[in-house]
Amino acid sequence: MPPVKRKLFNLDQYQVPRGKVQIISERCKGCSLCLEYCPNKVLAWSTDYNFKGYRYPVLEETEEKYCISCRFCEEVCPDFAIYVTTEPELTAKPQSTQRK
Amino acid sequence: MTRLGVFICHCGKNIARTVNIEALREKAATLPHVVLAKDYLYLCSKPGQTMIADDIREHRLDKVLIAACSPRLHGKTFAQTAQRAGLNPYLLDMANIREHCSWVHIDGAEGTEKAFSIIKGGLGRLLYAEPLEPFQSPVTKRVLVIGGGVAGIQATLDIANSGYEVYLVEKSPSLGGHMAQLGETFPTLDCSSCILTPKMVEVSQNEHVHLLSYSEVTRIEGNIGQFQVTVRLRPRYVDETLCTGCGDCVPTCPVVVSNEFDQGLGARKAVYLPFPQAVPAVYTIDWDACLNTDKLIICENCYKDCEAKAINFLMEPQEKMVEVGAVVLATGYELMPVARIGEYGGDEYEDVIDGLQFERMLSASGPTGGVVRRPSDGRIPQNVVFVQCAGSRDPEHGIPYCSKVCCMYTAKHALLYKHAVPDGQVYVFYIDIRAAGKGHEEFVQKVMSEERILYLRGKVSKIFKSGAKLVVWGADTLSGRQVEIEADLVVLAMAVIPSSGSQKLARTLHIASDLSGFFSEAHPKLRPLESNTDGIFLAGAAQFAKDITDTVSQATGAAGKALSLLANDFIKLEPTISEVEEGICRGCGLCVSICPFGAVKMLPSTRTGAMVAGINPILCKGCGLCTAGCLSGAVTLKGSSFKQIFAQLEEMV
Amino acid sequence: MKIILGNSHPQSLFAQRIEALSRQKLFACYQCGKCSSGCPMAESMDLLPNRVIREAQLNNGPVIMSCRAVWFCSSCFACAVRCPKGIDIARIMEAVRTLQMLDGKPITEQPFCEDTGTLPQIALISHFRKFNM
Repeated sequence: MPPVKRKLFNLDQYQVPRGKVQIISERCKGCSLCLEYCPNKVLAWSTDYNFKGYRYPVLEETEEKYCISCRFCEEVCPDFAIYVTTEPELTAKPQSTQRK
Repeated sequence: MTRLGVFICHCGKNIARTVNIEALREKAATLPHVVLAKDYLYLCSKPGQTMIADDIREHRLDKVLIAACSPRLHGKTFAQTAQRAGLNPYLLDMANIREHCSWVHIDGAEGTEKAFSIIKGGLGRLLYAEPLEPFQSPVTKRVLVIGGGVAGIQATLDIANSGYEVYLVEKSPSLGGHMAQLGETFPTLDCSSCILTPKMVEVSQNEHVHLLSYSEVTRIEGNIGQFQVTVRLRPRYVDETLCTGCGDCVPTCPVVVSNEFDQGLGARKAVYLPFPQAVPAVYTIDWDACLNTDKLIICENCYKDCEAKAINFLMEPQEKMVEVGAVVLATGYELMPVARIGEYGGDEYEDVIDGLQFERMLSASGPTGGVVRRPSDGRIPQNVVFVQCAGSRDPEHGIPYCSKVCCMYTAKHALLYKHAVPDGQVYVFYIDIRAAGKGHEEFVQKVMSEERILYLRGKVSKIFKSGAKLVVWGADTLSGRQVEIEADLVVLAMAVIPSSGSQKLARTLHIASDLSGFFSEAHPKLRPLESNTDGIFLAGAAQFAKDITDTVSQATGAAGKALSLLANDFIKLEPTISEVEEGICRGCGLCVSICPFGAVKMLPSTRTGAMVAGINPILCKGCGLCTAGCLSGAVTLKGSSFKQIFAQLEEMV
Repeated sequence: MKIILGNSHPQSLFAQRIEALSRQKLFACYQCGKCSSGCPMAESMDLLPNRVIREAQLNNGPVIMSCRAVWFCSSCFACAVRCPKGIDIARIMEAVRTLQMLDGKPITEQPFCEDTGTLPQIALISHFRKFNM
């Protein structure tokens, strides 16, 4: 039987930074580094293509709360196509920041 | 011409009853080289010993044979007698005519004949005995304590306060061990951290103590008095000398993970202090949880917030070599995982928890702030079932022993829960109640009689979910009925097992552990604090499950053992050890694998350069295994050479 | 009823017979009660399984030979699997049944069990085979 994944009691005492991912889809060449390096896997491929013919990353609204503004996507993108704006306040209860 | 003296002891009636002492003495006096044959009632007595010493001097005896009891009993006594008379103690031998003869024979004639044969053999052996001198080994005045729980802390303080240097190595980032996790301790309900933290602080401030936290012992070589220990210091990625413990690094850390200190019920960040009173009060970055890796450093949130500039992502592990005279092992325990018991849910149910998890809930600084809650929905449980002997006393689950502390802490848990939730129902399933310490029985009786807590005598067979409810199937053998309880929360008193790193440590230190993994003592009754390797002492739950009282006692005892070793500049070692004749040794290496003490190594011969066996005289215990096993006959055991043994056999056959 | 033990009464004759028949270590049982806790048929039994073993340990012949509990046992082995001392209680029940039959006891019970969904399948199978229910 698999061990139970316990809910942590005092999560509300721990706040994490929240970020808003901004994607410049025209610059993207679909290399997927941002998707790979995102620790919470909040990015997904878009359904349509940019003008170069590549799919680009999108952040769904449901996934927004999982972005912890680590900026890994920003650092690894070779084309400066993605960046993060950190929310000014340390936010709310982490729903479950660690998804891996 | 060797002058031999034979002294025959009556041992009261012990020997004289079966052996004709007078006849024996007359016959012994006729043997070659014997210039004196005497008998006496009790040779081990003061006048007896004086007589032997006087006779050695008066008759100018070269070697002496004492025909009496076993050398295990009075070997030392007579060796000292010889020394006082100016005779090398290894030129005095004992022939056992009591345990080996008079105690196992009824017929007098047979007994006397056998005793004579034993004496003849003893004399034959004695003829080839050589004088030997004990040798010394220096003692380094420093002690290593492995494990920073209450046992390690107590031992460290006792040794440091005696003026000796101590290296205290602890695997986790902070001292404290499991005692720091507890809320209140039985039977007094003292706050655990309140009594432990002053000691922790004392350790950190003591000038004789070098605290190496977040570190592990990776290698140990040498022997008692001179151990060379290699300690690996794990990188905290925080500079210990700069960190002020302010905690500014924590808020912006984006990673939240489960906190080991809260046994999986609470959270922490990747950069963390295990608990508020941690010693050293220095933050640590859990590199496995941190988003950064050795090759890629992107997240610098903590680094930017640290005013003291203590964060350093480029830290590397360090190795430190320490030389110590003694080692104290205090690596402690952990609880058997619930997953090992399938019939209790096997860790599948959130509301089935173990004793330490419940303890964290009760603790005021715990994940629930001291309120008992159901892990599944956070509500306060109204029906709590405590199951004792979960895993313990259960050979089928691999734990045949009793874990000693569970009866007490379950009673404590039941009491504290009832005080917090007066209307709640508490049930405790037990097989026996073991409350053998001071104040323990009174405590349990108070819990049973005054608190309306129902104690049911029967082991729980199954815990399962029926719909949304948790059902416990047990029995009460006293009334002869099965019992079924719908519980909100079930607390299992899981078995106490040695902590996970102890097996690896046992192999590193070449010490023995028993089938359950606890370190083995040299003698379970008479030497419970020493391992079978000289110079390595045991303290606390690493030796066996025990409560805090016994742990502290044992820790002070182990410290005492280490101190009595360190009080000498040199230790005296027996010269009755094995020696290799390099010219005969063919370098096969069999002795290396035979030696149980790791005393034999293959080394290049000083004369020829070929690899031959070399015996470390300090580690060698003179057990004789290599001597017997050597195919070339290159090894001799001093004090028991081949010549001596064959002479003894020839005389007796 | 009082149990008389001592020199004039052979202490463990009964226990010896059961040990010989079942080949289990009767005295390894420390009466923890886990077998009784999990027994699906215990509700119909006049004596719990752990009690049966205790009476055998105490050489209580009259009780052992007259107890009906062993006839409700379904040999489902839930007890044997969970016993911390590795005792096969089902075999001991079988031994007691054998002793009762050798004594000429007629079997008039119809073991009644209500399957509330918690009865292990093997219990049903065993009942079928034993009593042709």
